[in-house]
Amino acid sequence: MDKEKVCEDPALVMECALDMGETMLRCGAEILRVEDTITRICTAYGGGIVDVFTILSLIILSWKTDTGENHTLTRRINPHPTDLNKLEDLNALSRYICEKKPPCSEIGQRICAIMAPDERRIYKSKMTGYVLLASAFTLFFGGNLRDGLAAGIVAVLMYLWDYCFASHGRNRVVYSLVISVVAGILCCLSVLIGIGQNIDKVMIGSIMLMIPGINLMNALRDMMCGDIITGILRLAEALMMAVAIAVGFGIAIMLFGGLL
Amino acid sequence: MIGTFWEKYFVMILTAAIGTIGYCLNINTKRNKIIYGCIGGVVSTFLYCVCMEAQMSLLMQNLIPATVVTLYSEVLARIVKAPATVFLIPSIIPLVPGGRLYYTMRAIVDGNGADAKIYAMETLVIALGIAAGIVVISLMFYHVSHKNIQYKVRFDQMVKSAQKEAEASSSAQK
Repeated sequence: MDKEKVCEDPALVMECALDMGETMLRCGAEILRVEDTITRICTAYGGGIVDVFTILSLIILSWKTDTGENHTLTRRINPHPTDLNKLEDLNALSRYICEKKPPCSEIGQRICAIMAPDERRIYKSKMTGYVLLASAFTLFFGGNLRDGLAAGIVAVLMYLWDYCFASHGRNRVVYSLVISVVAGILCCLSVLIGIGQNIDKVMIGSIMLMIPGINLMNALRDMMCGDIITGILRLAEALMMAVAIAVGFGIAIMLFGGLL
Repeated sequence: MIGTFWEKYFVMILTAAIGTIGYCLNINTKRNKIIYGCIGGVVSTFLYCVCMEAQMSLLMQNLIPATVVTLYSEVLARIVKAPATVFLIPSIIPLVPGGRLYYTMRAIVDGNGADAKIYAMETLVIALGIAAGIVVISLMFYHVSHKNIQYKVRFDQMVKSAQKEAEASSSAQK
């Protein structure tokens, strides 16, 4: 590393590093990536000793600068839907920061530009994704074309439900329970009306929409890198979500028990 | 032989490709990287079908595709310079035991304990196979790529500064 130091207020640099870490964690990065990014940014702006501790909902950053000052900041992380597009941008930004060492105001602007809250509207690409996923996996598990059609319709309705209610509350387990009940009822109705033929295939298609795949994957990757605490937290959340999905669909089947 | 294989599994592979594209759109992958996820999904489904045809055990049916796909996405992550997760998650999706999860739940709702036990067991075995496949390869790459991760150097620095001070004091004495 070159000796040329960029003169920045440590508090500002830490703010920027924590912003980066927080946004990455919320977009679905592994703990190792977050801690590595924060350490690298702080080291790039003035060396010293950096201590980072990150779990799923908290980042603690403590920095002893070369001049001997100690600074500590903590940050509470709130859950956010996974967005790999933003994660990739942030990854590129952290490479850029460590290489060019831009002033903190510029970093702040870039993070704001990446994390600008999405416009609240119905995204066609996302809806297409829902429909493709549900219909394709209905056919994948052996349904016929009419089941695929039913699953597609259910997927559109579920996307609209997500659009209306997703931001209310941050308990994802309860939310996935509620949306599973809704999806289960929609699946049963679609078969009762006569669009779909096999209730099981339609339901499997909608289950694939909600499966907590990213949580499970990140849990594995975290545990493997030695972050057992976060790994267990994520695994527990993923398992609870899986159980909630099963219970939700179970409730829907019980409601329509005699009819199917 | 190849013809019958093709006939039997064509629908599965095609729908897996479409499904992975859907999943990529769902988690908002960059548009120019969707194709990689799609290829990964096709590869994992193809291998899954081959293993199923070769009548391997349920564990191996999922372990082998997961291993290959993880290798694929870790290599690709280094070529394209993006997090491996971007390619790994869509590629794994066709292996996820959504169907087994449903049948487990259905058996429990119907009060059919024996079936529920079998399906739950199968779900766990599949999850275990996928997990093992991912862990083995990722661990290898983790050890290769994180050799020069920046750990704390507190005690190094203390030793160095102590040495400097000693040198300074000795030169001052001279």
